[in-house]
Amino acid sequence: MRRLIYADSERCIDCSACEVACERVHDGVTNVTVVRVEDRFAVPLLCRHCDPAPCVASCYTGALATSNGMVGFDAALCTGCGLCVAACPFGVIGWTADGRAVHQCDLCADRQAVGQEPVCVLTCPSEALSYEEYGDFVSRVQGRAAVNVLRAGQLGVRR
Amino acid sequence: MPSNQRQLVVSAERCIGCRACAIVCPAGLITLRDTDRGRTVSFAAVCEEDCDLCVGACPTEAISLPPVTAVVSDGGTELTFKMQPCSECGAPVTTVEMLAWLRVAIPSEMQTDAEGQKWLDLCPRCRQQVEAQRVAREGVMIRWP
Repeated sequence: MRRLIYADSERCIDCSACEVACERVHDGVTNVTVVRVEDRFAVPLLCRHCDPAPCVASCYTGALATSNGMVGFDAALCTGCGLCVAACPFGVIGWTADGRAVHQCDLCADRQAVGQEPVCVLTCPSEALSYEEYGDFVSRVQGRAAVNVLRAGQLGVRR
Repeated sequence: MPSNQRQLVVSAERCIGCRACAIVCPAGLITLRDTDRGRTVSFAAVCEEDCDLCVGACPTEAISLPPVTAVVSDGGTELTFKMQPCSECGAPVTTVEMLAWLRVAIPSEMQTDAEGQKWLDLCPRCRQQVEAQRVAREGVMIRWP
């Protein structure tokens, strides 16, 4: 199973540390965006590495291509056409600072090559971001929800 | 007249108004301008560079560089494209032609999300909002089941 970066919006405190850390590692552009919903939730959004992926379907030069369960990006092949930006269902493909190419989450491949985890995951102070397999993420989040319900019951919270 | 002078010919039917050729052209012979009224792509009439990057970069094979056969007018070509407004906020998503190209390139079963949202009609910012609201709704169910 592939490991990806998952965002647990229950834990996100909307501090933007992940955005800053990502920018620092990726030449001043961030691949993660924290979107706030009505002052109640903050949702970190980043590439889902869809498989199959609309951005890959839209990329006619092969700059975006699926390999090893992730969407890889080869900047040398990017023409800057902007089709993938219009194709991404989550709006998480952005432009580089000079507007000549796109950028997308590479799961911090450079860092992983030297045994480090993605920088947004490392930085997140509330452990809202994790780098793991989907099954592990879901069971952890659901397990916590179940414990919360049980505790609420023990404390006699009226529903 | 230099021998490597060629005409810069673009097909108005094929061009979808993306940014590829304008970005790869090393001589700045192709320029792109986004305004309130739409996107304008301007092509010079002739190219004297030893280069065919624009031909290779074009997703629709709209550009060709035939040899200069007759006197070429100085004006070049100017194509104007209408921008598709976002169905939520009205901000320009991208050109109508690019979206039409994407509707063909992206398999139809991929063009809606799990909730039937046609995300191609939305601008990237509204796509982020839609996704964040979906996640938030799930969060509400976890917090207050």
